[in-house]
Amino acid sequence: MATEATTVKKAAVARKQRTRFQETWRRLRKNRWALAGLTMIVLLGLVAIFADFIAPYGYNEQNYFRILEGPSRDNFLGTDNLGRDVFSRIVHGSRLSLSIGFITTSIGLTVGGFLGAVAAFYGGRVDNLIMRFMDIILAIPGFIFAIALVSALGPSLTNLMIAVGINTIPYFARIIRSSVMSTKENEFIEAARVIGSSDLWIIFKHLIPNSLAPILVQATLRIGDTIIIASGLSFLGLGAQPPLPEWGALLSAGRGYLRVAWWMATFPGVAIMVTVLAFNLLGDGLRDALDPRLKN
Amino acid sequence: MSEKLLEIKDLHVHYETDEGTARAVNGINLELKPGECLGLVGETGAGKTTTALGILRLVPDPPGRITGGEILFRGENLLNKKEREMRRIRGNKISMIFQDPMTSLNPVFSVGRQIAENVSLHQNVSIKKGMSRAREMLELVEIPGSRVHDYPHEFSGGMRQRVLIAMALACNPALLIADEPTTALDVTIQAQVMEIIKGLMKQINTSLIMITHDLGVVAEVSERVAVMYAGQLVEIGPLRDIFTDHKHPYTIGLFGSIPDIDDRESTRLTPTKGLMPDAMELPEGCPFHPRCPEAMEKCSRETPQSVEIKPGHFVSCFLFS
Amino acid sequence: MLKYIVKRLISMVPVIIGVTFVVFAIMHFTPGDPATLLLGEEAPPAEVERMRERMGLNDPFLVQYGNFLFGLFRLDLGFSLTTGRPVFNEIANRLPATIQLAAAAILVAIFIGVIMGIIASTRQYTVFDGGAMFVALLGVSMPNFWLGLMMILVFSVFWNNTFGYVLFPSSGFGTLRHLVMPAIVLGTAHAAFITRITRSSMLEVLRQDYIRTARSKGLNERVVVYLHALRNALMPVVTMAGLRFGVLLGGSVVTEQIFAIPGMGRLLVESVRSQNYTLVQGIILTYAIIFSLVNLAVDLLYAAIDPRIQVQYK
Ligand SMILES: Nc1ncnc2c1ncn2[C@@H]1O[C@H](COP(=O)(O)OP(=O)(O)OP(=O)(O)O)[C@@H](O)[C@H]1O
Ligand SMILES: [Mg+2]
Repeated sequence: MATEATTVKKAAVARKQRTRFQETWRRLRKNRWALAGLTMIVLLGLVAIFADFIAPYGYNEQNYFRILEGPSRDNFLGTDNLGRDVFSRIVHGSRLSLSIGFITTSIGLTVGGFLGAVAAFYGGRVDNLIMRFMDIILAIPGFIFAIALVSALGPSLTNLMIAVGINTIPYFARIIRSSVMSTKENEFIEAARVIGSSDLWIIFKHLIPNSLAPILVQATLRIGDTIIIASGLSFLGLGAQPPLPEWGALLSAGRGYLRVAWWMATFPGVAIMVTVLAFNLLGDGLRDALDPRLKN
Repeated sequence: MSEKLLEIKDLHVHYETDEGTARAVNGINLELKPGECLGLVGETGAGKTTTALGILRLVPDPPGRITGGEILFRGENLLNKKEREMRRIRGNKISMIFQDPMTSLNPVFSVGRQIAENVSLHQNVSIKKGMSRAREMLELVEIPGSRVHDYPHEFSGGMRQRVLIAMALACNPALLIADEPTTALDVTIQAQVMEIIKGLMKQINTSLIMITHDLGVVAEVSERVAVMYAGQLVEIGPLRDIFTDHKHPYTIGLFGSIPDIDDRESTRLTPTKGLMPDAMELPEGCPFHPRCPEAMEKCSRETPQSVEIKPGHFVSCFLFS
Repeated sequence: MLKYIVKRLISMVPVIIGVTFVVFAIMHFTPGDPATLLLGEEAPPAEVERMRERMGLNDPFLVQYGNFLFGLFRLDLGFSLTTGRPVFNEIANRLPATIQLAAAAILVAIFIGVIMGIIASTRQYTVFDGGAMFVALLGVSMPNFWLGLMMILVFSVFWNNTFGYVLFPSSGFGTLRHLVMPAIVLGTAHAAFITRITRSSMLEVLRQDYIRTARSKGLNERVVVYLHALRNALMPVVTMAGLRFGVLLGGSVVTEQIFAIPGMGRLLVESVRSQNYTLVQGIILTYAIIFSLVNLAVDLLYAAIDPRIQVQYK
C-alpha cells in the first residue's frame, strides 16, 4: 500500500515538475535577453565543435613571413609574434575556455552538491564540520585560493581546472544544502523512508532533482565566473601553457606586444567577454523565469 | 468660495498591468463639507484606497493612472495642479493615515524625526523646531514626549498607528483621510485609537474621510456614509438613513440582520453571497447585478444613475429611477 | 559597541586558524625543497640536510604546523626563501600599495554603482534603466585584465601617438595620476555588481508602504529617493558588496601585475613562480585577514545604517 501511495505521489510530483519546467520555459522564451544569451551559447558551442572547419589555420601554424601583421583579408584578426592567425587561435581556444567553464563547474557541482546534500541530510556534527570547512574556503578570496592551489599542483591546464573547480565547491554546497533542507520536510521523502529506501538513494533520487532550479541558475552564472577566473590564472602564466590557445594565455602573450600589435590582446578579450556575457544573460533570465517574484 | 471642502466629480482610476486593465474606480461623485466626517465602506478590493490615493494624486504610476474626472479641493481642481503645488498640499492641507501601521513608518528614522520632517517642510522651520512640535504631537496622541528619539521598531502596532496620526495631524490639515486605521490592530487598541481620532477631530476641526470595513467604526465617527462597490458608490446618505433605511440591495445585504445603529459590537461587513467581480473583468451594466437578488434584465445592459431619494440620500439602482 | 567589535574579532579567530591550516597544508605539499631553494642548486647535500634540520622540515607535518601557528602569534611568519628577510617585513612593505589600490577601487565602485543603480531604479523601463543595466552586465562580464590592457592601449599608447603625451601612465605607483587607471580597472566589475544590486534593492524599497507615507507628506521626490529609500536600500548593497570584496582582492593581483604596482599581488605571483612557499603562505593569510576585517567593517556599517540592528549590540 505504501508503495502504491508513493507511486501515485511520485507521478504527481513528476507531473508537477514537468509543468513547472514548461512554465519556466514559457517565461524564458518571452525574455529576449535570455534567448539572446542562449543563442550565443549554442553558437559558441558550435564554433567549439567545428573549430577545425571554421578556423582557416591550425592553432599553432606558424608563418615567419607574416609576423605581427594587422587585420587583413587573409588573417582578419591579424597575426601574432610567431605569425599565427589570431582568429584561428581564438576559434580553437573556444574549446578550451568552454571546457574549462563546464568542467570546473561540474567539479564544483558534483563535489559541492554531494557535500551540501550530505550536510543537509545528516545535519548535526556532519553538517557543522562540512559547512565550517566551506566557510574557511570562502574566507580566502577565490582567485587567490586558486593561485595557491595551482602553485602547489604546478601550472597546467588540468591543474587549473582542478583549482578553479575546488573554488566553486562551497557555492554549490551552500545552495544545495539550503534547498535540500527545505525539500527534506516534504512528504514524499517521508514516504520514501517508509518504504525503506537507503539514504544515499533518497539523496540522489529525490533531494537533488528537487533542488534543480537554484542549481541550474547558480551553475549558469558560475560558468561565466570560472571562465574569467581561469583565464585570469592563464594570464598570470599559472594556467594553460604555450602553445595552447587559451584565451587568457593569448591575452597574456598579447600584452607584450600591446604597443605594436593591439589586435593580439584586444580580440581574445572580446571573446571572453562575449562568452561570459552569454552565460550571464542566460543565468539572469533563468533566475527570473524560475522565480518571477524576484524580478522587478 | 463654496462651502464645500472637497468635491469629487466622476473620478476614474485604472491600473494598467501586463495581465490587463483593472478598473479600480469608475465614476465616483462625492462631496465633503468643512469639519464633516464621512465614512467610506466597502468590501476588500472595492477601490477605497485607490480613491484616497487619487485625492492625493499618489496612485502608483505605473501601473495606476487617473483617467478622468475632477477633484475640487476648496474649488480648485487638484488634477490640474503642478506636482510642486501638490506637494504643498500633501501632508499640509490633506493628510492620510495608511492601512498598515507596521510598515508605514520608515524603520531607519526616529519617529520624532519623521513627524518633524513634515512640520519643517510645510512650516518652514528647522528640523530642531519641528522636533519640539513632534514632542507635542506625540503627547497629544498619548505617547510620552520623551520617546521622540525612539525608532519605529521600539513601538507596538497601536503606538505606531498613533504616531502616524500624530504625523498626519502635525500641520493641522483641513482634510484627513484615514485608511482603515484600526484594522491591523487588536480590539482594545482599536477602541483607543478611535477615541484619539474622535477627540482630535473635535479639537482641530478637520474633515475626515474614514475608510473602513467595519460598520462599528463607521457608526462611531461618521455623519454621512458612502457605500462603495466595484469602483462605484452605490449609496450615500446620512448615517442614520444608511443604517436604518438603506435602499440599495447591496447595502441591504451588507447590513443583513443588524440594523441597530447603537450596537457597539464590531460588525464586520457580511455581504451577499458570491464574490465581488475582479476589477479586471467588471460586468456590463450595474456591477452588482450578477449577485443582486432584485436584478432585472435592464441591469445587465445599463449602468444606473445616482438618484436622490431623500434629501442627501442617494442611491444608484434601477429600483429607484 | 566596543564589546560587539571585540566579540566579532574573537569569532574571526577559528576561521582564520582554519585558513592557516588549509594554506599550510597546501604549501606543505608543494613540490620543491625549501632548503635547496634557500641554498641554491649547487649546495652540497650535507649542508642542505643540515638546513632541513634547522628549518624543522624533517619534523612530522603536525609539529611543523604547530610551530608555524605558534610563530604566528608572535607575528613570525618565517623567512622569505629568496631574500632571507622576514616574511612579515616583506608583506608590510607591499601592503600599503595594495590597500591604496583596493580602497580607491572600492570608492570608484560604490560611487558609480550606487548612482547608476538609483538612476536605473527610479527610471525603471526607460532607456536610462536599459542602458545602465546593459553597461552593468558588460561590466560584470568583462575580465579586468583585458579592460586594463585596453585602457593602457587607449590612454597611454594611442593618446601618446595622437597628442604626444601620456594621459595616464601605464605603470608605476605613487601619484594620483598613477592610481586612476588601476582604480577604474579594478573598480569596474565591482561597480557593475553594485549597480545591479542597488537597482533591485531600490525597486524593492520604493514599493514599501513607508515610501508612500513619505510621499504623502509632500516631500519632494529627491528627498524620498535619496533619504528615505536609499538608506534602506543600502543595507543589502553593503552586505553583498562586502561579500564580493574577495573578488575585488583577487582582481587586484592581476591589476597590480598589469600596471606594475608594487603591491602584495605582484609579490604573490613572483613568489609562486619562484616557489617561495613561506611568502606565498604569508600573503594568502594576509589576504584572508583583510577580507575578514572588511566583512567585520561591513557589519558595523550595517549597524550604523539600521537602528534595528543596533539594539543587538548593546
Ligand atoms: N498597484 C496595483 N496594481 C494593479 N492593480 C491594483 C493595484 N492596486 C490596487 N489594484 C486593484 O485595484 C482594485 C482596488 O484596490 P484598492 O486597494 O483600492 O481596494 P480597497 O477597497 O482599498 O481594498 P482593501 O479593503 O483590501 O484595502 C483591486 O481590484 C486591486 O486589485
Ligand atoms: Mg485598501
